[in-house]
Amino acid sequence: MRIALAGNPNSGKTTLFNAITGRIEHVGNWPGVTVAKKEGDVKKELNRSGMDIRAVDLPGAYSISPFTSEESITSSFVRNEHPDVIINTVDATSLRRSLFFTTQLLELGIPVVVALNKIDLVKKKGIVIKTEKLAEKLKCRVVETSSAHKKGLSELIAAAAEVCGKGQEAPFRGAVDLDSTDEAAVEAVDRERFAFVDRLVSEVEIRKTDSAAQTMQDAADRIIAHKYLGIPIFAVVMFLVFQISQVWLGPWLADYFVGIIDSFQGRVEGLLGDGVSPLLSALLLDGIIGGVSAVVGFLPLIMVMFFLLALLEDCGYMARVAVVMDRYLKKVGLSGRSIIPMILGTGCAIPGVMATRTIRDLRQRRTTAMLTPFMPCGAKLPVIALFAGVFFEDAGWVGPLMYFAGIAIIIIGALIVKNIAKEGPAKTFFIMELPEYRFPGIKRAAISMLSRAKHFIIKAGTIILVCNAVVHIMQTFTWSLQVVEEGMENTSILASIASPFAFLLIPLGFGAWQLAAAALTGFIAKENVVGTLAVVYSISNFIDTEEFVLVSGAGDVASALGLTSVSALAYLMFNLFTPPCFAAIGAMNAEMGSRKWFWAAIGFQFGMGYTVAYLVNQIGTLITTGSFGDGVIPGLLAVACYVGILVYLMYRKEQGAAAGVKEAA
Amino acid sequence: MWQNIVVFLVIGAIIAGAVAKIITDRRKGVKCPGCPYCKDCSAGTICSLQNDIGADEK
Repeated sequence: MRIALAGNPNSGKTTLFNAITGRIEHVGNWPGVTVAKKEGDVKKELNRSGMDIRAVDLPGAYSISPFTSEESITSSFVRNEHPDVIINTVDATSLRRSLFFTTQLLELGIPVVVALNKIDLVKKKGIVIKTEKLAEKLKCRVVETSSAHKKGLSELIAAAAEVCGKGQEAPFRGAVDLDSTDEAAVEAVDRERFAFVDRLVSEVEIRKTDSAAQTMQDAADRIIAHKYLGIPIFAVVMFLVFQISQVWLGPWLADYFVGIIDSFQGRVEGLLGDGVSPLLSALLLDGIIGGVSAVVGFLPLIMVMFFLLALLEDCGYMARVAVVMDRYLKKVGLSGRSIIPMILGTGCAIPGVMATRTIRDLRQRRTTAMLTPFMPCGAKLPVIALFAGVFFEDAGWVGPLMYFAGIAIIIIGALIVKNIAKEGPAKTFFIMELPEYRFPGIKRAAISMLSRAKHFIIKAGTIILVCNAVVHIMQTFTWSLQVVEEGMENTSILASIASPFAFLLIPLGFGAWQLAAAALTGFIAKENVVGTLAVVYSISNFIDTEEFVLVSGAGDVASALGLTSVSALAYLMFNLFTPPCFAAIGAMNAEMGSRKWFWAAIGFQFGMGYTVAYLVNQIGTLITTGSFGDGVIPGLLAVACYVGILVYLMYRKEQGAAAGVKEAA
Repeated sequence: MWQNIVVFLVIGAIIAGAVAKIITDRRKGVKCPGCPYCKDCSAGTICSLQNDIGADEK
């Protein structure tokens, strides 16, 4: 038996799905977190029917007639894939809004069980719902549930098993079919449907207005979502998140963690002894263990950061950030919905890019998919933490600066795309249901953090391990498979591949082949930047920066990598603002659905990363030393070329532009 | 000599294990090991989205 979980956004479908299947899918206290369907088997202890029950979690939808592509996943699944039962998750605190979709589902003829979810909140608010009467009026089973507290779940599954194969009566049937394309007729039916739901709710719900609680929520929103105060509040919140994860708590945990890794490495070194070939010993100790542990050493910092971000999501703050950003994004041709992919992109660019499907306008969707990877993702955190720790003495401002630089680039990028596409002023409306503030669930945040940590470790033990081993072998041998002699590192396979790229990076202040190699491996996975630096410089511990002092043989930590603080900042920004990893690039390609837009996006990202790094390096060097850095003229030519192309595209004649956009679409 | 062989085998086993994990994951539909969203991609949702985009454009 297959059951579909369908309901409005933020009605708790994924929390219910996780509770009944035992899976750990990402949940968030805001609409639009789920953009793809997910499947899992219902846990045996909840299933007393003896049948094998498979649950399918669907993206939230307000109507069976889809407006956005993730709504169309829900619509096409319930209509075309014929689930045996639909569990309609209804937010019991907003019955009036939720039952519109319920009445449409009931028209499909598939047995429906209504899960009256968030029932604990209903009781807290003093709302009374006459469940039996509601069931009678809807002509279907209604079960009170609280998926967050795992209440009513076995009753819900039992009800689903009971109605399987029994058909479904509809309490309301419109004069026209749900598939009708007659807009006027559909509108008339929708009005009738709303009236039916209104009458129904007034019969089954007794709502006591809790003005004090409303006022507190509203008062908080008046400050947090304020059009001017909202931005500095967001800046302070992000600063605190970084300060706690990268400066206060994170490094303290990382020190302890790195101590364990170091002692493991020491033990392996002791076991190998002097009888083992130095080549094999170096491959194992520096290439494999050193490279992987350099990346894994940042795990505590990342875990603390994700824990804090999960708390912010869960308490309802992130939904307010979307509202705050809406007015600014609208001005540059995006919508408030664009902020949701960007916030999701701080975890991983892939779900961020996938979440662009919630945006209805095609140009806005593609622009958002192009710009979302500019938000530093979790994989870039080790790179940020490394450079903040090594070159800026663990300064708390480096992390937030990268995020705000990402936002600034997104705004500039959106303006550029808007001008290239020659879009006139368009009225876009962003309606977002603001979830109530609540005390964030520590357990939920811990699960989210552990899930990400698990994936991080798997990545370190597979892709990053293999990459580091390959990098180590490539830097140990020449093309004629001779071992590279001491002092002749430039003859290695790795150096010969990376050197041409390093030449192009001289104007950016980091023309060493080692740094170019690290940037290149970063396209496989961004954590590889740290892993490769560890391998090519034979450093396994990036957390304890005293080790750098030993390696460089001088008090200047930065000299270990041959970078000044300015060029280190440029290198960090180059790695953050050039295209993301290949997996995210693949997601961009799929979501954009246009080769022209895709290649334009890749070119735009490369150009933006190069330009930002060039400006940071040259202007920074001028300020700190009084003269420009190396390669100022060739770099200026490259940047001018990039800017020139953008300016040409932005100001070309209207006719050509329109044709170009049409072709791109 | 035997020490080198043992270390060589250990290194080979570690790398082979990592490669085997990547390959088995790929066979299970996990295209990017370590990506928390890899299963969504392999479920074909992105591909189905392309159809949706196509429908919108029409």
